[in-house]
Amino acid sequence: MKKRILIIDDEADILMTTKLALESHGYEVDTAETGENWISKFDKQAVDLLLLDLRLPNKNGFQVAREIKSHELYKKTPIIAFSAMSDATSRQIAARSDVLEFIDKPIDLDKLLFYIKDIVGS
Amino acid sequence: MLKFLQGQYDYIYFFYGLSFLYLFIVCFTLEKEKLGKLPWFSLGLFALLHTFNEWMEIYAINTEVGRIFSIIHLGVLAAAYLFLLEFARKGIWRAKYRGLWMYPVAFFLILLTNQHGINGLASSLRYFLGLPAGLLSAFSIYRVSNREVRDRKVLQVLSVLMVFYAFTSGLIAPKSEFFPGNWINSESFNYTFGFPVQFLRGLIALSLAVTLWYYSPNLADSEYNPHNYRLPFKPTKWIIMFSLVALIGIGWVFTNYLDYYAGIQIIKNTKANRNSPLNKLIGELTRIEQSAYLLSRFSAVKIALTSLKTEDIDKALVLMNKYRDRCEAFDALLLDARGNVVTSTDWSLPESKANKSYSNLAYFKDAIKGQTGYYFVPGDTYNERVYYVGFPLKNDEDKIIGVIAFKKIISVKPIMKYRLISIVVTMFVCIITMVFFAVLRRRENLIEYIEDAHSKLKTVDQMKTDFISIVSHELRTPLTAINNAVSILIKKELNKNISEENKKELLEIILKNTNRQTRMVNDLLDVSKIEAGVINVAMENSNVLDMVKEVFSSLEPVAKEKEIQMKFICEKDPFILEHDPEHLRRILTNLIVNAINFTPKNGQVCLKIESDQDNAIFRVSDTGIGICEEDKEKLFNKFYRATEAKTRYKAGSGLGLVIAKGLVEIQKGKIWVESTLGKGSCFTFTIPNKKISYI
Repeated sequence: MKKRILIIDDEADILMTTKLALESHGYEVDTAETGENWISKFDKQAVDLLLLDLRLPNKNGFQVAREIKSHELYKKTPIIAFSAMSDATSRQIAARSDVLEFIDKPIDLDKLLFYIKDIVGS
Repeated sequence: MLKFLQGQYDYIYFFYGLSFLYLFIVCFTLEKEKLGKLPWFSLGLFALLHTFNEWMEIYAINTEVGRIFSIIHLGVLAAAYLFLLEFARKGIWRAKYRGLWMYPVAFFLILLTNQHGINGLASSLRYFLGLPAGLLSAFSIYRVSNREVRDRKVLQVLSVLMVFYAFTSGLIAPKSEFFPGNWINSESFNYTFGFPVQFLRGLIALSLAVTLWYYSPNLADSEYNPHNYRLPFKPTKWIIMFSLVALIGIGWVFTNYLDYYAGIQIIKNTKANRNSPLNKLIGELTRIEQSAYLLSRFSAVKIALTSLKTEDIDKALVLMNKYRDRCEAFDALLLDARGNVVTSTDWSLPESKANKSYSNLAYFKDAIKGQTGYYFVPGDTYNERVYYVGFPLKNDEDKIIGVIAFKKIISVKPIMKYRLISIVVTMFVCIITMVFFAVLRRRENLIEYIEDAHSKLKTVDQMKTDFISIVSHELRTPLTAINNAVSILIKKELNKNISEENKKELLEIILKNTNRQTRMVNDLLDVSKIEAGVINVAMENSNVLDMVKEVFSSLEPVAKEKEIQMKFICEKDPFILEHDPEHLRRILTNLIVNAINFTPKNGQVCLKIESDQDNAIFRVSDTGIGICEEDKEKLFNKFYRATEAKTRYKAGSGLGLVIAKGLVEIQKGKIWVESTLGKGSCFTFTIPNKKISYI
């Protein structure tokens, strides 16, 4: 069975390109532009891994991560966070919200695929 | 009513000087912002020198002073008035060297009238320096008050007080032999009002100090409450003022108690020692009273008063001369019931004595009621110490028909040791208290200043941090898209399943994001150019509408995507304006893009161009989220992004409005925003239309 990955990012171009790259490695990819309705995506189908941008409109990445981590069913979902604001504070907050990995933008696709393989398997 | 002040000349001089010392300290503790409005330092120096001047007088009352002392005293007063004039000059002209002609004018006017000795000089100094300086200062304060909003009343009161001070100090001068000093002087003031003019001046000086005190903000009353330092108590204006006035009062009571106590001691000692100076003085005064009494018994004097014939008056004059010599008095005077001089033994100044009315004099008023009247001129730097005695003259029916008066110049000036000691102690206590308060206030001012600077720095620092994170985000985001797309296109393991259509799409993404990055870099460069003031302007006089329409149509697709209606209204076509087309294009693009970004679906963005007398007015209005009051002020600041924009909307570097503002201002225009939260905003900017304004 294909592993299902959800990407949340507000930049359509990044979503599209990342999706293409991951699909070529045989993952099933779903995308969302805001973090507000993450739960509907999770309810629709099981999510094996979440790629989460931290700077999102209305509800930012940290809030989304915290909500997932405090949810009964989905709290064990692994999260990889990425952000263009790679300052120390963001990293610290990300670490505190139980985010598994933190990747700076621009994303190194090889590195990302390596992490994904490590976490969910190919 | 104020009779108790009569014996208190030394204390009055002390109070007067102290009031000016307060004024001096208040002037020197005003904070920077207020100091800029008027040259308060000059007023402070005037007050300080005045203090010295008045306190020298305390010394002059108690001891015999020479000519040199008088000259120094006069010099200090002149210097004080010069600083007052300087205050007025700088306040009126607000320039370093303008209005300097006033100094030579005052100097020559004083020189013209100085043939009357040191007394005359003291008077003309007041007429030609003190009076104009005071009035001009009042004028300059009043002028500044018209520009003020918050402190207008305080300054107006200050200028009225200054007028009062100018008249009491400049017009009521020491007695002198020319007009108006022979008519209006401090002595005649004391006769008329029953209290020394110095007391009134002291009250005015104190009021000046208190009013100026109100001009400075009361830090202790403000909400400002830093937790990192504590004072034993909050020195509010009221506490400070009350404690200082209370100190003056306590000092007065203390001085007079000591005086009374010392008086008892002296009387005890006097009985033992017949040759003590005080005993001598008492002897002299007793002899005057005796002479006055004896003189009043002679029928010749009474006949002279009733008949007013020359031969009768001459007979009386012989007697008066005899008794004057007996008690070593300076002058003996015969006054009728209305207070007019009938005759006098002192004919050195016959014109001034003849027909002169003494009805106002305190000793005459007492004598005409049937008591022995006294009047004592304490003597200061310019005047001798004089003792007047008035004795009622009664006819055979026991009716008072006139007054016989003696004027005695007293050579002995007994040093009132206890009074002096008490005054000096009070002086020190008051000065220390005032300096203590002044230091406290300075300290508070300083702490507030530091806190303020600190919070400003913090804001700037926060804005910088925000800016760096925004810039890094805005630069990295397109880079990520480009990087991803290029990686996919290049690496075989990533592009094995990709269709031709996808490849084309990836190339488009690369192009789009390269453009976005270019825009960002350009914005950054522009901001730094605007900041450094090195941006170029190429003004041309042409129709703006072609360019505006172009901008409008280029942005219409973006608006259509968000289902936003775009409207364009212009009052005339063509619209000729002197402008920089490139800059105008940037400004309009930035404002319209903002409007589209912050307007939800089905909204409206409208561009309106109109003109008034001097300006072309461009309005970009939207039906968007609006801007709250707090953000409005900072919106055009570097790096600033409104709270709403930060959280809800992604695009934007926080540079668009900074650039727009810079470009509007470089074309000598203005930009501002009106907005209601939730209803929409309207950004308006003007560009001056020189062609129209020339007509």
